[in-house]
Parts: sequence; structure tokens; C-alpha cells
Amino acid sequence: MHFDHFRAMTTEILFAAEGRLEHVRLGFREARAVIRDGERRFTRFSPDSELMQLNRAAGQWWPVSSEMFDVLTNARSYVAPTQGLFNPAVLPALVASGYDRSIELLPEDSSGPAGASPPVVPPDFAELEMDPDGHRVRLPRGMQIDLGGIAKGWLATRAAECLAAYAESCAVSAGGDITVVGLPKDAEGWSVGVEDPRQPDQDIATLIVRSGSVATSSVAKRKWRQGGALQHHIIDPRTGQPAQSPWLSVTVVAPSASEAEAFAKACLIGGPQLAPQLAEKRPGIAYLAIDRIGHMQGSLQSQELSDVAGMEI
Amino acid sequence: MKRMKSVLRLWMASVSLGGFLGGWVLLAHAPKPASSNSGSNSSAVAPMPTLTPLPPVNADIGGGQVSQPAPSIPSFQSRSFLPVMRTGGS
Repeated sequence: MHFDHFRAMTTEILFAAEGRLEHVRLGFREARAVIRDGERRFTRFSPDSELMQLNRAAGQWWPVSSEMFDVLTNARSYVAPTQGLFNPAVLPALVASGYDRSIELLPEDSSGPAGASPPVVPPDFAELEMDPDGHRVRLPRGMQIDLGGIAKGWLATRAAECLAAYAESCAVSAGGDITVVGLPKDAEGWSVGVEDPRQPDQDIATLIVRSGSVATSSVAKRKWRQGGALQHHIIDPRTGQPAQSPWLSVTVVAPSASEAEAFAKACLIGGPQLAPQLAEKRPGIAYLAIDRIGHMQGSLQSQELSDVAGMEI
Repeated sequence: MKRMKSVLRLWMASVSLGGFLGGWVLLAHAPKPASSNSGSNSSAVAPMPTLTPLPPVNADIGGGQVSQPAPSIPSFQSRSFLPVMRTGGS
């Protein structure tokens, strides 16, 4: 097994692959290029990124790259199945809650009291218009989007597909958004540790993933204080404020990492009232939720998993 | 012209023969190298240097950039009961 790891998108990127070293090395190089290109394209912290150019062009038709078009197509397709709980148009709400710069640059306690900026309820992301023939999109006037999570998942799957062309089997993790291709030698699947959100240096469960993707959404990550009040980056689109969930994290297995990412976020926001029906209605999706005292619940034993990914705790 | 060629041949032959004989004499009178098998000279032989083990082949993956085997992540083949990947949000 060969490994490559580096830092991008303010998180850890890890490649693992089996195969001839000289081939795998080429695959690592190409997969790195995929991640680096995506990092430049999808960041909201660079005014020159394609994403921020698109945000500034809200209200008019705007030509976008095939990568951006694909991510937006994916993102829009997840809005209805998550009952609108997945909504990338939360950028103004994120900024209002204090997350206005890269997480590594956020002060311990951002200036201004909590609630100084009124919460911004995001518009319906499904109102985004797309022109597949012209590769153009139009954000409704006033809509500002943040693709942080879903772009990370999309890039993990894209990088894994790229690496798979050079390896017998491989896995790519972009900050815990994971896609696997093929099975490791002499193993029944890829072993994926699920981090305990209460003690991030420990795992609370292990998944054996045979194919597909895994992603986790957590309120224990990317958090800060605003006027003394603890804030986090999972915005509830119904309120425009950081989600109030009884769960600390939700891990989802899905055919692709962007889908896993979208449903993990939606299940975390929806909590025990909505997550079961979201997962039940979506083939290939299963989730594992962890609450504040470490109890786990979810749909891990669902028969739907047999075609997508096997898992066990 | 013919005389010139003969003189040149004779000169080249003389120089070659002289060089060969000179080298023979030099080598014959040079000090003999110490033999490692010789018991009397064994104390004069320098000890072999100790070499550090070579790094594993996969320590240079990724085109010599940052890439290397993740130190905290175990080899999947040898310790498959430990997670290779971790997920926890980011």
C-alpha cells in the first residue's frame, strides 16, 4: 500500500493506493493536480476564484467551467431529496455568524456581540438556473453560495477516479470525505474509522467500506465564538443560524462523496425527526448519528447498502 | 620521404619499448599492498564503516515532493484491523 498526503482546502488530503509504485506515483501526481485545481476554483476566500466571480455575477447569466457546472448540478439535485436542508446558498448566513475568513485565520472570539448581524435566511437553491448547452448558470439576484463541503466531496470522488486509472485499488480522503475504488488485497474492504466527536483523537466506530463514499458532518468542527457565544459552520437553512441539533455528527455512506456530504449535512440538521425518512427515501444512503453522550443510531444495517457499500460496527 | 617514415617508425617503437620497460621497473620496485588475509598485517586494516539501513522503496513516492508513507497510518496489509482512513467532518 502506498500513501501520499498533503494539506489543501484547509484540511488534510490522503491518498492510499495499491499497485506498481511507478504507476501509482503518476496517479498521485494527477490526483494532486485535481485537488489543487479544485481548491483554487471553489474557494470562497479568494476574490479571484471561479466561485466568487460567479457570486459577484448573481442576477446575470454567467459562463462556468465544466467542473463548476458539474458541482452545481449535483448540488441542485440534492435540494429536493433533503427537503431543502442541504442548501449551498448559506454564504451570507455564514458570514453573519462570524465565519467571514478562512477558519485558520478566525480569531478566538470574533468582534461584535452574538446576533449583532440579523440571521439571513437563504433563498431556495433550486432557483438556480442552468443552461447545459451554453455551460452557463444564473444565480438569482442576492443569492451567494458556499460550495465548501460539497466541493470537497466532489473532489474526493474525482481524485479517486483519476487515481484508479493508475492503481489496482485506491482510496482518497479529503478531510474525511472519502471515496474508495476496488478492494485492497486480502481485505474485505477499506477500513474507515469514525471519529468520536467528543474526543477527536479517538474513533467511536469502524466501517468496512467496499465501494462508494463516506462523509461526515459535525458541529464539533469549524467552530468559533462570536461575542462569547459558540458558533459552528453547519447553518440551518430554515433559520439562517448555526443548526441546533441533538446530534454532534452524522456519517453517511453513499455512491459518491458529494452525495454523502449533502445528506450528512441534511441529516445532522434534520436530527432524529427528519434523518430517518431522508435516508429511507434515498437508495444507497445509510447514516450513523452520534449524540452528545456518545450514543449511536442510524440505518447502517439497511439492505440498500449491499449494492453500494458494506459496513459494520 | 621513405627515409622519413623509417625514422618515425623507429622513434615510435623506441618510445613504446622505453615506456613499457620503465613502467615494469616502477611496478617491480613499488611497495606491496597490505593483504587482508595476512595475520601479521590485520591490525593495520581499517575497520569497515557501519552503514545505516536504506529507507523502504515507497518512502519516495509522489515525485519526491511532500509525499511519504503517512507515519501515523498503519499499513493496511499488515495491520488491517486498524483504520486506514478516518472521517469526522472537517
